[in-house]
Amino acid sequence: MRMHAQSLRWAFVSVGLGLLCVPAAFAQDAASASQEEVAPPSEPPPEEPSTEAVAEAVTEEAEPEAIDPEIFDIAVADFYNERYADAAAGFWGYIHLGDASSENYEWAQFFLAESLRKLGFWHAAVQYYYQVAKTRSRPEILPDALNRLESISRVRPFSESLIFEDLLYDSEFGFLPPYLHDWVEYVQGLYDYKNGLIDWAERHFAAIQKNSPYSLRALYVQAVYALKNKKDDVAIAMFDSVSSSAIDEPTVKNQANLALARLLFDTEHYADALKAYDKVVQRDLTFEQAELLLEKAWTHYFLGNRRKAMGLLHALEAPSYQHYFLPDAFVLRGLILKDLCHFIPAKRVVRSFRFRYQRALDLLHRRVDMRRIASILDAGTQEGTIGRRTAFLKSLESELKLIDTYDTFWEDVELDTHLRKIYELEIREQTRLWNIEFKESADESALQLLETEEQVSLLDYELGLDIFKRLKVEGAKRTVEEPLVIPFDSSSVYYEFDTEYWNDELHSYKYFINNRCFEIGGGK
Amino acid sequence: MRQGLVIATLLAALLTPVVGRAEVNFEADRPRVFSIQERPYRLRHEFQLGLGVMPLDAFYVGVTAQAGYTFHFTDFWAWEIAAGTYSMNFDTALTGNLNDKYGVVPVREGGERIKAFATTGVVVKPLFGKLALLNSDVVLSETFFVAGLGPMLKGEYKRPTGVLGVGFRFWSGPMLSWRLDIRDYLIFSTWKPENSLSIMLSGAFNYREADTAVAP
Repeated sequence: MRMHAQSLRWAFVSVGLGLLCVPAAFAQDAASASQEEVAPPSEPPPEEPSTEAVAEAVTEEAEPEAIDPEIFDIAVADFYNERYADAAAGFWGYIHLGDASSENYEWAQFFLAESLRKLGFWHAAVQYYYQVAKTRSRPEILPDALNRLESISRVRPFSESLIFEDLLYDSEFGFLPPYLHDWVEYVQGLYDYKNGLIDWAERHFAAIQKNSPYSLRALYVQAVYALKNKKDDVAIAMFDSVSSSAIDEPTVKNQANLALARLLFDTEHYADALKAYDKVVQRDLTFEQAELLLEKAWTHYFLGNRRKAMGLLHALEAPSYQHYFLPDAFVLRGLILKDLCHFIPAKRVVRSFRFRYQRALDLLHRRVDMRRIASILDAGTQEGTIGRRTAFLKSLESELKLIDTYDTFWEDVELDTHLRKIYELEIREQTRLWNIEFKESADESALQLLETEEQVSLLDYELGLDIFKRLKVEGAKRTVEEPLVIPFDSSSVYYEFDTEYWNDELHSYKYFINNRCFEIGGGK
Repeated sequence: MRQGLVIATLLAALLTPVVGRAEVNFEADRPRVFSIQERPYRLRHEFQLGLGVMPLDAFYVGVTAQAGYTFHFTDFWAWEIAAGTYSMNFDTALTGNLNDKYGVVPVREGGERIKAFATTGVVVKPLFGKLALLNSDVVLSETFFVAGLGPMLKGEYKRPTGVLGVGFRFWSGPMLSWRLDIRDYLIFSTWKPENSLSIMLSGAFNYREADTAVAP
């Protein structure tokens, strides 16, 4: 029955390194298909443009000709007067119609990126920051461009292959401000770890300042690597160091606490795991928070605290969580109800699992394309690399639509056409990669669903046996449990659940349920 | 005869006790779900400063200023050790109207006027809750009840006074909360008490030792 713990280690080792690429959690939108069978995402294009090809589109320009330098000055004035659409048109005109050797060419690229960022075209902005940082012909702008890219990499979905692999991994930037230097060293070390070049990676990590947030990230990567190599004790010590570090980097500390909790859970140190879980803070109503609630519920269950486990499972029934793919929750709820001899509610759990997933299971049995199965589509894209790529694709699509808003400003210099080309190329490329990644993640989700179905069927069978188990009346007595006592004067407040979920209560539900089992001679 | 038998049978059926079946009372086993949360703000030494009105008297309106200290034993019981109030009284239009229309002037300004009073009382705080403020924020609130007594300077005389009241507290943070108190003062000038209503808004400053405070 303990399907959760077995899959835990590899799940987080496989995503652990990926998580560090983009610390911010990108939760999916709540929108879930109402029908189980859905239309698949667009097919990959026949031609497969590489990320470099997408970047080349940015540099594509008209035949160079003499350009009036005043265009640049007017665009700068527009920029500082917060007329960003006009400024973007001016800078693009300067780049598009001018020569790459123009005096302010790189400045125009940088300001174009700034204008596009202000207008909400994050991907296009990244492309031009990338151009400035890649060519490095104006060293004085390099720190600014890198600084922008570093900030965006922390808070927005972006093209990881463009920035991390094409720009940072193989480049030497010379002197950089300490914080950016740490970022570059960290990314280079991370990709060396991913590529198995451990000595080189260690050298990069050693070059990071000890008090930098990136040194903490580096330590986390080393801990994940130790875990992957089955050095659990080393990994625990490293995660602990990250968690207790004086460096103020809550995101990584959170990840370290989560990793530590999962590792302790896996090694059956449930009480310690719970302490680590309690330190983890996730954004409200995200998949990550739902997953955390479920993991805490399992931990409480193994500690014998069924009321708390049921309380956490109760929180997972909140409407904001209902569309997340967490089939384990049904098994755990059924197990607890069975343990407490609440057989009819346990049977209802089995029925509700089937109500929720039977359609998806039927489609899986019929070998329907998994992109057409809503549950699998949601499950396969809710976390990890593909989760970030899905968020990136959504962001690209919304930015592509945003171009229509500025048509009138840009049609003279054809910036709208140019941006559409950039976005369409990137969407095609990201869709191609998405399709490759989805195949793998969907397989995992489908397998998980099929395994859970087996567990639920087994539970249903055992419930049937338990319901009709014979009981001798002599000596039978109800199991006595701690009664529900609600003090009128207490430092705690008791809010009885009344069909309304409050976000701040999701972690604090306690489910008072009596044990209906009978005991005979000390046994059940 | 036959009719009598039918009636007797029906009566017998009514008088026969319902047969009870031995079974587990599942309804009593109904699960209950609670969200159990530590109180984010807890009171201990509360210092209160407030402004209010005493609007009931027809001849004057009292604008009051109050200072008080309350010690909170628990989250349910507290003792309002002292609450001293001074009333600045303003005439209503009634005195002028009486003079204009009927040419009469009330004796001793229409009766004794409340000048100041001090009370001590017990406080119970049975209601605590969260309120959604414009669907964008959560405000923590408490409703409490007060009963107490004390002396009142009314006119030139000291009168024994009882007080009954209800209050609503809204927290801004662990150290500061805002109170709305509605109290009825029972003033015993004779055996039959007079009523005087007080409505007051106060700021309440809380000090609680760090070792017993619960972090929000």
